Amino acid sequence: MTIPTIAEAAREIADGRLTCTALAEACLERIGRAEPQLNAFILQTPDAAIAAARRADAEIKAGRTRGPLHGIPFAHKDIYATAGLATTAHSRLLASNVPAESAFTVEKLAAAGVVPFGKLATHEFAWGGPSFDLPWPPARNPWNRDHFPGGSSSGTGAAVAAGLVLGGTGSDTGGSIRLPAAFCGLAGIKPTYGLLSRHGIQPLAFTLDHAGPLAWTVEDCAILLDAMAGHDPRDPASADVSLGSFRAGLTGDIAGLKIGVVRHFYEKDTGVAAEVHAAMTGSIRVLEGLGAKVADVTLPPLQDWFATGMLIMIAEAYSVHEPWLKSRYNDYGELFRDRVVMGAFIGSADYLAAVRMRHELRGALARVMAEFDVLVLPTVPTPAPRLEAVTKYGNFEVPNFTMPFNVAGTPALSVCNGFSETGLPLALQIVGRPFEDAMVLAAGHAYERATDWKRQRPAI
Amino acid sequence: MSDMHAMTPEELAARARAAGLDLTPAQLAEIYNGYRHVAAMAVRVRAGGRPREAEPAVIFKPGFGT
Repeated sequence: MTIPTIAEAAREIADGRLTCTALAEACLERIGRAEPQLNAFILQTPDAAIAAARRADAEIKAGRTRGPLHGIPFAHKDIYATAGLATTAHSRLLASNVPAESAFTVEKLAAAGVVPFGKLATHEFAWGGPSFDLPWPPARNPWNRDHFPGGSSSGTGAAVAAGLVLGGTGSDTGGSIRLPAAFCGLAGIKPTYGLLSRHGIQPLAFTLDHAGPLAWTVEDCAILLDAMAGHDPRDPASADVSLGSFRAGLTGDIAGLKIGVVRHFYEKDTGVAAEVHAAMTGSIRVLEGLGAKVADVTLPPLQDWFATGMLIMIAEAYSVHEPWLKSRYNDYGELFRDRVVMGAFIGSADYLAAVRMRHELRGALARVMAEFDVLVLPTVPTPAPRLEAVTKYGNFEVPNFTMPFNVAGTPALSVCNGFSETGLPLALQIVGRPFEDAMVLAAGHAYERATDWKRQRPAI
Repeated sequence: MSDMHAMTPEELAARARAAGLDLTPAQLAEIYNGYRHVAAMAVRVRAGGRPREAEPAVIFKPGFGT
């Protein structure tokens, strides 16, 4: 069976051309072939998947259809709490953790009818990876298994790209949804801060953490976001807003959309590979061809955004992990502990300087976005590096293109933007104003439809 | 400028001990390599100064509201 998108599978299930059980069996067959090379899963639940798929078929046959996610193969990043099912954060410290209740978004997706295939690899506590000194190996990139799939939602990126499941959850504190989406050729959205509840998700940095979906297409992300969004009083940052259907806004028409290109981030503030630059130039041309009005914009330097986000992330993560760092330092993997321990050396005035700069940076972005509907820039400066090329402090040295929008809390989507000469995906990032996630998705969907990047799947 | 920016390896080790962290000399040496990047970030966010009354985003609100 050719692996369908969520939208395609939903149509075929609704038409009676596909059963949920047959789809689940096809995914299990792919898992059996690919998982030994990909390490996408920490825990597989094939029996639960088949049982859930059969229940979905019975419900649909009885006319109790739940919507486009009913019977769709799905899995969660292993920092999402799943009641009665181990939730390890890919860490020795939580190896035996079995939550009593599920995360808010896990419950929402279950209610929408997804079929659970298990728990997906992450970087330890969503930051320490790719690591080889943990109880589970790091996930690998299905486009080339010697390469990094991105992280920290690494298992989700690998599993969705390989068609082991049709969608999955991720979390994004400095890019952890968009980076695996970029390196694995997927769509992945970090929604507006507050749009999705973080309740039941292992925290990394309270004011930067975002939940979100990864899937093969933007339309699939919109379907997932429709199911995951909703006010949750248990998350103090949860916004009580109703934004309607994200999927309904995918018209394919972006004529007149005002698009700002954050060119100085990738031409002046830091560099990108020549093929990434060429892909950006090509994508701008495509967007102009769709009728968008495109112009360059100027934001504060990328380094300001990155330093602000990193200091806040390190300080907040240290505050979460301080007790265990004192008592169980060597139970952590080396990458996570040697990164998060930096919080011991950040002073209160340094943290507050970052929090004050964050206020200024968000103001500067708001002023620019008063004139533009969305901004575009690369998601990543290069195609996926080889796994061994990812170093402990490499992500401290070079500012990334994703952290600015965690600092700002704005919606940011990564979509496939072609392929390198070596066959690895490239990626375009589309950023919107707060709570205008629908416009970001609409732009990404229109771009995806105007290109043919989604016709290729990695061979497994 | 924060005193952390001039921290020597010995001062970093002392700060780690004060924080209750029990680290080996090899671990401290490795961490010191990464610390220089964090120190540079702290210098950047403090650069230029700002008015004493400049507000932080202490309570982070969704949206651009101030």
